[in-house]
Amino acid sequence: MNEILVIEDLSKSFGAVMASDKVNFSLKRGEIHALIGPNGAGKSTLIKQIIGEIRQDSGSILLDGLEVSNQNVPTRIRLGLARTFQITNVISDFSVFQNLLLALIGIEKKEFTFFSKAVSNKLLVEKVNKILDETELSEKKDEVAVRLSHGERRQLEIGLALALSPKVILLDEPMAGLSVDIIEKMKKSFMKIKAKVPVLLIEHDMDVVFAIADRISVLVNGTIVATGAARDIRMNREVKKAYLGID
Amino acid sequence: MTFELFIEQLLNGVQFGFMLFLMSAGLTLIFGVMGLINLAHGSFYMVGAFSAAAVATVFGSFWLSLLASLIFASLAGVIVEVLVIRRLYNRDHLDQVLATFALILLFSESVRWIFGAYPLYLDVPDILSGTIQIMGGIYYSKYRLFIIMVGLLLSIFLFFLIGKTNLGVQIRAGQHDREMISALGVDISKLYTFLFGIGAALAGLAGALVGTIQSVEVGMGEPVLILAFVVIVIGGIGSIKGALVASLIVGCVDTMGRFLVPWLLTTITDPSTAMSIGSAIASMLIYILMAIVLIIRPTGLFGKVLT
Amino acid sequence: MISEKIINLGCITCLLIFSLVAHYMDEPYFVTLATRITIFAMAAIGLNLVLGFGNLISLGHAAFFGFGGYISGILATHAFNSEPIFEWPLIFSGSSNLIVIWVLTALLCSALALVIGFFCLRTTGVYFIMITLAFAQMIYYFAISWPSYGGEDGLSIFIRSSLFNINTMNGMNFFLICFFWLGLSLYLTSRIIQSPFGLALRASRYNLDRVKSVGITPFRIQLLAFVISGVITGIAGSLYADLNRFVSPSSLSWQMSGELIVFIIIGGVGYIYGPLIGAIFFVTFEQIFGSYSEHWQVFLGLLIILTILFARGGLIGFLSRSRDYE
Repeated sequence: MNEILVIEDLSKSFGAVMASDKVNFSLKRGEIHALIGPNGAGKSTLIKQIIGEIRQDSGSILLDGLEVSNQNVPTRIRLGLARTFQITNVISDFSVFQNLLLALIGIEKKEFTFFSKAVSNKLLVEKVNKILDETELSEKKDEVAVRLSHGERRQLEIGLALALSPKVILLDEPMAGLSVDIIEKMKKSFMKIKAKVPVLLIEHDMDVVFAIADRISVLVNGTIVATGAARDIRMNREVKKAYLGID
Repeated sequence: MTFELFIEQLLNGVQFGFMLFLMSAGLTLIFGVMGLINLAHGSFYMVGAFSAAAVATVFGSFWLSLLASLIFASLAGVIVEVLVIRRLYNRDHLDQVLATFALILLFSESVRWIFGAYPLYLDVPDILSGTIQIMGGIYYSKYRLFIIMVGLLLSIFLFFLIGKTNLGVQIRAGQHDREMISALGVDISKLYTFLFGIGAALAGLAGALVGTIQSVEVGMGEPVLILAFVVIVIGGIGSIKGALVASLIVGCVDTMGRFLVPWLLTTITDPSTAMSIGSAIASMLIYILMAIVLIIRPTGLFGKVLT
Repeated sequence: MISEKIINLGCITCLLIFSLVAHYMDEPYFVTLATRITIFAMAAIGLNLVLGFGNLISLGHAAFFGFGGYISGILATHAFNSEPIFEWPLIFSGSSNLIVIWVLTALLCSALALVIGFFCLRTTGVYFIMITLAFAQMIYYFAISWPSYGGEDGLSIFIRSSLFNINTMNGMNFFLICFFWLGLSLYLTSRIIQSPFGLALRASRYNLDRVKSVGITPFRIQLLAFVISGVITGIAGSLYADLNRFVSPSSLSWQMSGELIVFIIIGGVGYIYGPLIGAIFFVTFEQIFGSYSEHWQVFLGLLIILTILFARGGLIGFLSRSRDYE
């Protein structure tokens, strides 16, 4: 099965307002799928339902074929649904490398290995190096986290999410507040990540979205009005109507 | 065992409890308000006892010696706060532990330097010596009863100070939000110095009062300090009410344990074994009590429950 | 700035050379002094594992130091008097074989640390400090009031326990045994600190939530560290009892716990060799100022206060700014 995350007929209402109205959408292996939409379209309600912070009224969420819509947040994380900016607490006295190493030690259940050097564990170090490469952090690996710039810190957070070996990674506004050159770096890093982990990207910066997303879904008034490649979305009448108010 | 003996031991426990309260009240306030763990609190107890002994020797007055213990202990408290302690408020616990440990070395050796290594003794004034009939055929030491009275009065005074006065409002506010009270225009550093002085004075008075029952010697403060720690852990750090309740519990459990456990053991074994095993077990009782309290309520009886 | 490695190497070499010179100049007092430094350093190295790297401020490590000493003393006394310690299920009449003593010390100290740690690690911060202190006091008072093994007067060991065919009554031989243990505990600590376990321990000092979020239970990590730490300090205590051929409740006292922390802080918190440097400094300071005035602790107190207020990072931190264990 090519679709790793499938959302079917997801609905959620707050009183009379339909925040999600039969949302259908999917994330395929190897792709960056961007979810866009004007403010108030119901993006954040949809994300919260996907990660499990809000329970849907009806519909289903399938992660790798498994129904997760009734699981809580930690269970969904364990099943492979990683979201950055939830794991914001990096250890500021540890270097980038050590932060990632710690995450892998926990995940690989190596915390009771207490005689061999952590840095000579080839398996762990290899994985750390791979993540460092994917997040474009190799040069900064010995920097103490507290001295990282805003953008580098965010890269590290993505790295920590990747350390969980997730099936899906959900990036919530990863470019917010970043400078142009960091954005370029992050774009490169996302292109690397998607080969391993498909990315569900929620982003305001349309240049970024159109540059890196393989598919884009547009959410308007709680429903997906269009899904397609960047070129198709640009031409789509519904999208123009939603964003520009023209018919 | 007679009923009279039982009552007498119980009163001894209460008396010990009030002494512990005088020690732990300052300790728990200092921790609750300033966030400082002060190992040197026992030194104020010692300073109080020694200054009382010195004044009693020179002037021969018990009452003057009590006054001296208050004055010298609070003076020592204020000096130490200004010179050392106030630099430690923002440090981590490790620095506080070690610096106040060093203060103990400093105080103990200085006192030994001045007074020598031999223990001193304080005399009970005539008016408080002897026993008094308290009920039926039960007689009790006037002096110990006097200590209980002093402890009771000071507890009432402390509860009034914290519950009803402006200062108390500041202290309670300080336990919740330090920035807030300085934003309200309270001179925090004066408040801290004052509070530290009060705590030291109470400890000093306790030292002087107990100095009459036991001997006055270097190192007398630390065993009491550690018991006071047990008290505030059981009562909940920062809680005056907790300190009072726990002081009385610890005082009674310790005193009654030393008396009851060996007695109970004589029913199953010979007296000398009962005595030795019993006293060993009794000396551990309050620590066992503390462990039990912590299992049930990790933040003490009256401590804030952490979420 | 001198590199930390050079300071470390310098200190341990100096200690060895000092005792060798003292031995060949026939100054047994100084050999004993070097042995004391070695043992104190080892005890503090044990504490440093939890205090320096896990930020678990135990003010009760004398419990392990003294307990180790008493185990050593009790086993040797029973062996000397050929009185069995217990007769059921089998007759065990103590031992004066150091290997047996060490193994039993390690086992019993880890059991004690497991119990104390289990209770204390349920709490954090200042509660932890006070409770570790309280547990140590409990054992202290027990030792004082339990009359079978000397009570307040302590317990004498008539003959230093033996190891293979080595003459342990020879000061230099005994120093070398202790020196071996010092080296072993330094090596062990440095391995542990750099291991995945050590990384998790160091992480749990900063950010418990982060550690939990990657699926590590900090309590287990800290408890295991506490046990290892208790064993190292306990064996040091056992050596100390054999050195003095005497063990008393004072080795269980809270002053002992405080001194162990002093060694660590003087040397520098979070440095593997910190306790060694602290112990060298402390004993040297005691020798110099102690010969000048019996009230030398006044100066020690002043020095510690000044160190804390103005020279954070201890001696190593003062001499070098790098940390080699990273």
